[in-house]
Amino acid sequence: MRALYGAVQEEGIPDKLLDLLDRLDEVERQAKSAKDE
Amino acid sequence: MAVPTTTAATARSEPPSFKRELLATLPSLRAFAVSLSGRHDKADDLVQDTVMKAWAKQESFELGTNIKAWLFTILRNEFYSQMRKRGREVQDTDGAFTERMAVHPSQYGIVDLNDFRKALDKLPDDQREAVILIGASGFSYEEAAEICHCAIGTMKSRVSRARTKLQELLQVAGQSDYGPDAVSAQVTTIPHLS
Repeated sequence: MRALYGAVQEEGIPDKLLDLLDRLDEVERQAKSAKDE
Repeated sequence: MAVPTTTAATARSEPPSFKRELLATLPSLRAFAVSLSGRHDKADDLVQDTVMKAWAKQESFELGTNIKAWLFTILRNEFYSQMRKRGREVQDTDGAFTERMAVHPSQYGIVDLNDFRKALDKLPDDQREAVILIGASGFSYEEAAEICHCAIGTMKSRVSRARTKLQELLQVAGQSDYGPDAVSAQVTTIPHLS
């Protein structure tokens, strides 16, 4: 069970998920800076 | 005047952020998604939906608490919500999961893993997720019960029934039988002499 699960974990995170996080983070930063101005 | 630079030391001292905690949980969250859906492409879509929902609800999450259990709960709810909408699909119809497992270089028990995946797919949904959460994801019975919205006793019962069923399906007597066969074991345990 752990080998099955661990094999997926070791594949790394797909770029599309990392890009999504970056985009969400960027949108949040922009919203905050707009609010502060 | 020194120019501030990003170093490993400063990175370590950075305060916890929602993004950082989410990022650290993604490999495990993705493995759970693959375990539930049986397919990498569907699992990644599921994780993507989960990330977006979690991000939108981050105000309700308290940094430093159990983000892993929180994210697993969101993903599980999303999975069953999508299943109800679309109807149950046959899992791994194209062998996408088992094919990937077969080429993974670190696994010597390839046949065992494929058989195990097939046996896992034959379990009822509630038993499969129970044995995944306890046996692979590292959650306690209490945490797993909270994620699945059930009592701790129910979770223990599901895991027990899942283990019994897996042993029947795989025709094994115990955990030791999940390892490599006798020939493979010799190769992997006897040191090479130069």
